[in-house]
Amino acid sequence: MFVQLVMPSPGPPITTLSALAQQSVDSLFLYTPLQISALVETVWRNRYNAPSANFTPWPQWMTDAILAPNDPSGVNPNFISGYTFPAPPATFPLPGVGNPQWPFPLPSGGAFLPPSQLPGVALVGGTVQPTNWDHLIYAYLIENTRIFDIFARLLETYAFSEQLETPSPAAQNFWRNTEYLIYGDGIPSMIWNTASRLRRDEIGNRQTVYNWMFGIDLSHAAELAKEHPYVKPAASNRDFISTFEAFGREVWGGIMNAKNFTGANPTDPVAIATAARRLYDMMATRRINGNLSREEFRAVAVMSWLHLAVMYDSPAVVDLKATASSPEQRLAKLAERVGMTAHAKAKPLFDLAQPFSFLMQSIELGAFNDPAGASLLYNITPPNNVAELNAEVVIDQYGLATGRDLKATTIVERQPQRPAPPPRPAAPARPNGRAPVLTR
Amino acid sequence: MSEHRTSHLQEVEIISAEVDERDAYLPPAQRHPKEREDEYIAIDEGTRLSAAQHRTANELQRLYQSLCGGQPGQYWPQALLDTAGRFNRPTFPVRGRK
Repeated sequence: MFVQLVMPSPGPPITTLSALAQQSVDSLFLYTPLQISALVETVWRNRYNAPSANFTPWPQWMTDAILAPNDPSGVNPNFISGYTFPAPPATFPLPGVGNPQWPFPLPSGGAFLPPSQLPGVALVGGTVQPTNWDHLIYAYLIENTRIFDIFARLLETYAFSEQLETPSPAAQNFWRNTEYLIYGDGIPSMIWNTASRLRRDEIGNRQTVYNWMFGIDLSHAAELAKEHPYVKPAASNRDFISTFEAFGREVWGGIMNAKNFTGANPTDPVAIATAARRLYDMMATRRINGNLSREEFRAVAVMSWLHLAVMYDSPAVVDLKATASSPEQRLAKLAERVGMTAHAKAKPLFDLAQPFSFLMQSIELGAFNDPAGASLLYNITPPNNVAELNAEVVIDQYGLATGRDLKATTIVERQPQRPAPPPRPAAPARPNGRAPVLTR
Repeated sequence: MSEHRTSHLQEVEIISAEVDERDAYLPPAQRHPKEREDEYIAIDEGTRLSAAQHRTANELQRLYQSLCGGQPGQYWPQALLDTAGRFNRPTFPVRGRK
């Protein structure tokens, strides 16, 4: 969710987009918890599929007053509405002349970007563009890297010891937001709050939702369950992985034979459409009437916040001397600082998360439910090859992350090595005192 | 030489005689009125999308735009941010002339 917030939707040239993304994410980490809360509500309010989940966010006048407090045309120029002082002091800021929130240059060198100007919610032609966020599979894959546990341990180490370096002012803002928005209990009135006295453990709750939607646990579930016990729902999509793998193999067969016009062509769009329809139905069954939408929103938001923190040399990463050239390397270095290890397959997990999310959203749109739509998954002709490009990345990275190669025609599970048979017990001594008879 | 050439021609004639239109997998192509007898035009329509496929493709394009700028497989956000990082290898310095 936060990833889309700092990325402009249309695709301007790569250099501009890159610089703007970094400026945006640097500013995002500096906002106050209230501003980020208003952003979260704004993203939810402008979601492209609003009728699918009818939960009402904060009203716009409220979020606008928080996000653009110094706007001369704003409802309330004083940042927080609700208080009226009979005699404001002489230095009370007039509309449009408020003190700048962050007068210093950003760590990346750019200027601070107010929350109302983030690319994801900036006004385009008077209205905010429809917002979108990743599929729950994104949260599952990112959490599998152990990023959530590593940042929790870092926070704990910061809070209770002086083992780590004192964070810079920018990093202190990041850690404050991380502690109270990502690891804290949400404001009850917020859309992304999913914890209560009944569902006390958000980490455990998330595992339940993963089981519901995909029928699978995290790779470190056994370790996690000791501190965060969770319930595995009786009814869940247990066939998700096997169905997805069948789908992936059929799609790969289509991509492989996309230019095969002469020989036998095993491409089977009907088989792809059948598998896609099964996946579509699995997801739709769990999502009836917008069920689990807030849980997905929260999980994706949490993981994307942490993902952004390791996507580049963010202030927190620099402070902890974990600068590197890729997210998994940064995460590995951060983990090392607190005596942990990231998932060995963190790189393919990071690389798989977003493409897999796009593919799942495409499936849930019903785009591949018929053979004609399914054929788009192996259409290699630009500009109609977006689905094929994405599917190919998913198939590649899925094999690297899980060790189950979807490009193989059949998947043979590696059998565990048989343990050696226990040594034969020595024959008991004969009561007659003679030596035992040797037998083979 | 002439004997070989004659036998080859005979073989071709025999093969062409065995081909029947009913055996062909695809129906015979319609000839364009202006087409000459010895001219064939091959039109490959394998990559053209139907109207429904176009609608789906456009919908997917909009979805990808909402998630990643509409460039899946090429410009992922992390790749973008990495390009702005400080650890990309700089261009190798050219040794100045003395």
